[in-house]
Amino acid sequence: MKTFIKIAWRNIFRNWRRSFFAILAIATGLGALIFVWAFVDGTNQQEVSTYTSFLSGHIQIHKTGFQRELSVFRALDNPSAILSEIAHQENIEEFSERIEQRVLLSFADKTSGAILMGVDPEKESKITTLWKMMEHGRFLGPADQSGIVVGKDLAERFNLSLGSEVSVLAQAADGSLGAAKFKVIGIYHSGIDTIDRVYVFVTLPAAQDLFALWGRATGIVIKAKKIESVTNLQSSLSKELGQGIEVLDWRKIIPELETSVILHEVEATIILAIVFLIVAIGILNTVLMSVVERVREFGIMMALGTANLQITMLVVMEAFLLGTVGVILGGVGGLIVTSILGKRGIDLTSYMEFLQASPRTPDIIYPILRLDRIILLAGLVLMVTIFASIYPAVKAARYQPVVAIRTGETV
Amino acid sequence: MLFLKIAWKNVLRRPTRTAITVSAIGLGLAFFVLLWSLADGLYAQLINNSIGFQLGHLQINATGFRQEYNPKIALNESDKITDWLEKDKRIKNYSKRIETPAFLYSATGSMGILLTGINPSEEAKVTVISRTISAGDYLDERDERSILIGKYLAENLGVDLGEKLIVTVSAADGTLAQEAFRVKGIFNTGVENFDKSLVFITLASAQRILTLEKKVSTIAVVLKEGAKVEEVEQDLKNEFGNVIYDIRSWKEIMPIIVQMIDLFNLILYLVLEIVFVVMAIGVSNTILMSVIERTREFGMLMAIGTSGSRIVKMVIFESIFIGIIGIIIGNAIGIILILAIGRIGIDLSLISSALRNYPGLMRMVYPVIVIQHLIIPSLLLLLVNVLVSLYPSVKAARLKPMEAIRFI
Repeated sequence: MKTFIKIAWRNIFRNWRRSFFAILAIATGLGALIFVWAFVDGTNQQEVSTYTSFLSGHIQIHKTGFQRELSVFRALDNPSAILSEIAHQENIEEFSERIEQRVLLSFADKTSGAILMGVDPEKESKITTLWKMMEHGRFLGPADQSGIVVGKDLAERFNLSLGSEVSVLAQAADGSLGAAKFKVIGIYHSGIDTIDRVYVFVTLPAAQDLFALWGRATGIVIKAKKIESVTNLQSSLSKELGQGIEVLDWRKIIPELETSVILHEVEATIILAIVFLIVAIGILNTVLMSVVERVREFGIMMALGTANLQITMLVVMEAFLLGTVGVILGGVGGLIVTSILGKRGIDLTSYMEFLQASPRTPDIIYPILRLDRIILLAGLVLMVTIFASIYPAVKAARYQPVVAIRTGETV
Repeated sequence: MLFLKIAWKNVLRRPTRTAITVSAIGLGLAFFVLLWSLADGLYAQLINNSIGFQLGHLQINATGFRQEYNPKIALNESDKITDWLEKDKRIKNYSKRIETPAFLYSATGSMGILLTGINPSEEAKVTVISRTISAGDYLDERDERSILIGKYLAENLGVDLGEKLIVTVSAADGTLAQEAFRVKGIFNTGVENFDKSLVFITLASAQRILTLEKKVSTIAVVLKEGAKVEEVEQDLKNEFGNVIYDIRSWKEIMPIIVQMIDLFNLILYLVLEIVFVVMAIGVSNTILMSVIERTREFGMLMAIGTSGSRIVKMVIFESIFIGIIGIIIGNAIGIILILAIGRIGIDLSLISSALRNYPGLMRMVYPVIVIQHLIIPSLLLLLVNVLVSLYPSVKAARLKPMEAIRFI
């Protein structure tokens, strides 16, 4: 056995050119697989972080049942207690209180329903990105007690322009009817019509006045440092905050985003499977060719008394050694390239001009390396290499020594 | 000419080597072609999923309607448009609708929603709602007082099948109209926004309560080929003008979706480029090896008087022959695979069962054959093939015959 490992190893060096090509095929194949998978993972994550940055944030905390009804009677009783609980969580980048309520909006002779968001402008701007998407005017500042920011579709429907005074009518928490007038100071355009048509923004204190929710809020929105940690964060928060409080992650807040992510993952799986096949065919051919061209050599070995099984073993052993070297090189190469790009990001704006002008779509993709995936791919590629060698190895062992030496042909 | 013959004979002389090289090219190309056709299929599916809920490829409204959703701003001569749509061969289906904001009252709550009057059989061919009924039944043309509501809305209003809901709308004649409807079916598209805010009744009942007579507010159009949307939009605009009619494609209605889809497409193309490089390296290895292994043979040829340039020429012809055979086989296998998969389709929910929670989603992907996407990789691969075999043959041709013969 030891002898054969030695012979196999020497064969690899003796035919350094052939070995080089085989290793190249294996290494580039594996490297590409690692990169493509990381790239797809990065794209999916970017999609989530872009979509959650419009409005939803990564996690929202409400009183149980609030999300479904948006009822003013389900406002958080004591948000500051929850805030202090959250404050010592590690994975949170920023959090902010909000008041989210259905209201009736009227301007001139038109009235329509809308959802009013009372936000803390400074903190909110670190969590969501609508303030970057202003088409006219500006987003709220802390001092804009009577300012309101509306979406483009809503502004068109009401014929609103900057300075228009809209009145807002709503059910307040004390049972009375809250009413207030706000001046339009900004019109945003996210391009998502379910946002642009529905959501209007005022400052948190203004909303607290309107709904008689002084010192209170209906929800807390959280941006996590890393999207991957959201699931853990969600479960630890919901354990800590206990009964009566709902802690929802983005999957619950925007279920269609989850569908979209699952859909993309599934599609990526199909693509990766085919890419894997292509890589496997490349390796198979390289290994096959390297055996077929060596018929004469095997003939001589057999004439000298090498047993059939030993020839088979030798070929498989060679493939295994080549595969191992290729997998190590490909794995390390893929790892290095992907992690460099993962840090730097792949700037898509150079491919598509519209991305530059739009804050709404992901423009830089950061590939995500996952060790489990690298190990899985490396194992599969090594297996393919060994399997690829079995057929020619068995065939090589069946040669007639004399015919093989004379003709160099397999038949 | 002689070299063409020699090259062809060389191809046939070593069937094993030829078979391996041809299969490297053929199989690599076949799966690459399949990959591209699937990418095209995914792109089409993505668009269908985005427009399948509500939009259709094109929407036709009276100018000003989309700003206000006011039933008064209805299409005046919808027959003229539907006649045109009937005759045009690019149109697959269309659906006439009335859309208006309304209030819904149940015994326990009230909710502002978008009320949509539909012709049930027409609408079923345009959007997914009819396929996502989770309880009860879909609407029937003859239903006068039946209503379809979403799952979330049913929960919010606390109503169940067969129970009554009061619909309040402001009618076209300026009065406030109120009518009771019975819940006939509950749909669950999985998209919360739809399940929360859309409600369907028949077109006739919508026309009745809104006093619209025979008018409709929207025509949603689905095309046979999504790619022709701009073309059809332009033809419609030329025919009916831009003044009274507001004709928009889904791309104008949902620009963000267009961007997301374009982005997805861009990423697919980047992946395709990488995969092509990997495939080309795999193919190149095989070709390179098959030429290098013949250095001794070239030495022999040179020893009996063949010039180096003729050897290079011979190798180029050989690689063109092999390349063309490989490409033909590759495209044939690729097209057979595409057609076979196209017939059954790929059910995405087999890979992730989580997708079954979204009944409104089209889960089947069908690969699409685009001729250019067969030709481009084929030609590129032929080029790679010739270039790759050029290198070792030029190198061998530069050796002295004796060196080449001794080459290991």
